[in-house]
Amino acid sequence: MRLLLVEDDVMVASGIKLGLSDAGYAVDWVGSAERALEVTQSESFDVAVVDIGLPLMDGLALTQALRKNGHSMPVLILTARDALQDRVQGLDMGADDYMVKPFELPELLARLRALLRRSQAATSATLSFGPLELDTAQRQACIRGSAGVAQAIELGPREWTVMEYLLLQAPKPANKDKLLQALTGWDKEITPNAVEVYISRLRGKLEPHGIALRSIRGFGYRLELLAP
Amino acid sequence: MTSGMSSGLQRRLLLLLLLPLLLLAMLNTWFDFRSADSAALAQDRQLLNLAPLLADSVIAGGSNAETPPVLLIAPPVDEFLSIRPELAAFAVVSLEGKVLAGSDWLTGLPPTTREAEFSSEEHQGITYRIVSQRAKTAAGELVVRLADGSDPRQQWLTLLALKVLLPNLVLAIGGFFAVNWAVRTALRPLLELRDAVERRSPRDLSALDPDASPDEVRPLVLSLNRLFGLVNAQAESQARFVADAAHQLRTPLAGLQAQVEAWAQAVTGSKNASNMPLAPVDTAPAAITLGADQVLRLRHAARRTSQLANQLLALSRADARSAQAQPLQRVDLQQLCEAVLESLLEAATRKDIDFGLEVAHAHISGQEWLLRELLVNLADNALKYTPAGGRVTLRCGVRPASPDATPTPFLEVEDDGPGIAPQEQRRVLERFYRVPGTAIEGNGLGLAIADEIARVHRSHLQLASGAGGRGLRVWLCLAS
Repeated sequence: MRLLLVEDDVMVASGIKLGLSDAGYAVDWVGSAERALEVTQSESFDVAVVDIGLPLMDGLALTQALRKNGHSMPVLILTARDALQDRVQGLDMGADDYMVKPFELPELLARLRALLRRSQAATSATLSFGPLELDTAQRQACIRGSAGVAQAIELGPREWTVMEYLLLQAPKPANKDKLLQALTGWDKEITPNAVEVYISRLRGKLEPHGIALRSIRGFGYRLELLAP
Repeated sequence: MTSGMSSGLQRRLLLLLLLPLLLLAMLNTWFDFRSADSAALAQDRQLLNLAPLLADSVIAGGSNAETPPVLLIAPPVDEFLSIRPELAAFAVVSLEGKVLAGSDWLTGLPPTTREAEFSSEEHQGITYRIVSQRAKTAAGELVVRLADGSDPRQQWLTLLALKVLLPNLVLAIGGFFAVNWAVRTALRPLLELRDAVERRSPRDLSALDPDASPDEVRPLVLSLNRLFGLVNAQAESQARFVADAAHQLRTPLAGLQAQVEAWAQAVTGSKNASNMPLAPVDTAPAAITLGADQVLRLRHAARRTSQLANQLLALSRADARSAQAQPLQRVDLQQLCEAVLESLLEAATRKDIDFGLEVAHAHISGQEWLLRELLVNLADNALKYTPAGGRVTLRCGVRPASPDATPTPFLEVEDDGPGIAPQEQRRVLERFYRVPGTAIEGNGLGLAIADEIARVHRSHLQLASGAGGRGLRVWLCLAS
C-alpha cells in the first residue's frame, strides 16, 4: 500500500513513517501541502495522512485541492485541535476520517485499515477480513488459505446478508438492530432470536478457519481474528 | 461607565423634577392671563354701560354748535371718573371731531355706526381703553367717549415680566439648584460605591461594607460581594488547578526526559556529536541499542503524558462557565452508549472483559460531546480497574431517581472490579485525588471531569456499590 504522509513536524513525521513502514506501508513523506500537490500529479497513492497545521496551505485546503484534482484516495486528517467544528469542517472538505494528536500507533493503523477496506469495497466487489473473502458480485464466500488456495464456504441467503453486513462493519461491531433491519428484506417477521440462529450457524462455519464472531452484550456482534 | 451611570441618574432626576416645575409655572402664567382677560372684558362692559349714561349727562346743547353743551354728569360716570383720578377721562365730541367737553386728547373721527367702538390708545405713557359711541343727546347727535387707563390687560402685560416671569424664573433657578444639590447629596453613597469598586484591582476582591450604603443600594452591594466571592473562589481554584496540573505533567515528563537524556548522553559521550538530529534512533549518527522494555516504558510515559494533556483540556472545557455558553442539543443516550461501547471495545477485548450494554430509549437536551467525554471517562475507569475476565455494563434509559419521584433519563456505568469504599466515595470526585494504595496508574482526573460535566447538565455523579455489593456503580440522573 502506498501512503502519502503530509506532515511538517519532523519528529511526528519520522515516528509515523517508522511505524507505518513497519506495518507494511510504502510511505512517501512530504513536509508541505504544495509539495504534496506536486507529487500527487505524477504519482498515485492508495491513502493519504494529512496534518491540518501545515506551514502555508493547510491540510483542509490540501484535501479540498486533492479532491478538486480528481483524487479519490481516502484522506485521514491529523489535528491537534479536537473541537467539534474542526472535525466537521475536515469531513466537509472531503476528508474521510480524522485523528486527534497525540494518538497511539495501533489506532492509526486500525483507522487506515478501515479506510482502505471502505475504499476497496467501493471500487471492487470483494470484501475481505483476514482469510475470509466475500465476492459480492458472484455472491461467493471463500477462505483463502496460507498457500493462496481458496476454499469455498456455502452460505444461505440470510446467512449471506448477515455475513456481508458483519464484514462491511468489521473491525467495528455490527449493531444487532441494524442487522435485523438488513434481514427484514427477507422476512417480514424476523425475531432477534432468528438473528441469533444465523450467527451461531456462521460461527460454526468460520471458527474452524480462525475467525470468531464475538457477541457484544446488549449491542451486537463483531468479527475477530482468533490468535493462531 | 460608572460616572455615566450616576450623571445619567442625576440628569434624569433633575429633568423629572424640573419639568413639572416648569409646567406648573406655565400653568400659573396662563391662569394669570385668563384672569386679566376676564377683567378686561368686565372693563369693556363697564365702559359700554357708562357710555349711554354719559350721553344722558348732556342735558342741554350749548348756545351754538361750537360752545360746550351743558353737562350734568350722571353719578355712575362721576363715580367712575373720581375713583380713577389720573387714569380716566371723558369727552363729548361733535360729529366733526371737535371736543366740546372733557379731555381734549380724546379727539378723533366719530364711529360710522351707532354701535359702540372700542380702541386702545396711548396718551402720556398710559395706555387707555376707549369706548366711542354716537348718541342722541339733548344737544343733538354727538359722540361720547370714555377712556379708562386702568386697563388690566395692559397692566398685566407690563406686570408680566415683574410679577409672573420673574418669580417663576427665580423658582426655576432655585429649584434647579435645590434639586441638583438634593440629587447630588442623595446619590453620594452611590458615587462613593462607584469609586470604591473602581479602585479595586483584580487581586483585591474583598467584600464591600454593605452597611455603608443606603438601603436601596444594599442589594447591589451584596450582589457585588457575592460576585467577588465567586471570582475569588474561581481564581483560587484555577491557580490551584494550574499548579496541580503542572505538577502532574512533570511526573511523566520527568520519566521521558530522564530516558532520553540518558541516551543522548550515551550518544554524545561516545561520538561527541553535540547536535543530534531529531530522527529515529536507528538512523542517528551514533546508534544505541534500546531494550524492548525501555521502549515500552518510553511509550507508556508518552501515552500517560498525552492522556493527561487530553484530560486537562477536557476539564478546562467542561468548566461550567464556558460549557453553559454553548447551545444545547438533543442527545440520544442510547446512541451515545453505543458509540462509547464501540470506541472502547478494543481495550475491553484486549483485557477479556465482558463489556456490554443495557440500554433503553432516552433523550435529553445537553452537550453531546461533553456527555460522551463523561461516559468515556466512567467506562474507561471501569475497564481500567476491573480485572481481566470481569464485567462492565453501560446503561441508559428512564427511571425514577428515588422510589416516589417521576422517572427521568439516566446514564450509568457498572463494573465488578474492586469498587470504592463508602468513606472514599465523596473524595474520589475531587481533582487529582487518588484512593490511597491504588496500584493502577491514573492521574485522578477522570471522575472529577465526569462530575464537572454532570454539573454542567445540572446533575451530579452518584456512586454506590454494584450488584451484590461488589464493584462500583456510577450514575447520574438527567433532566429530560
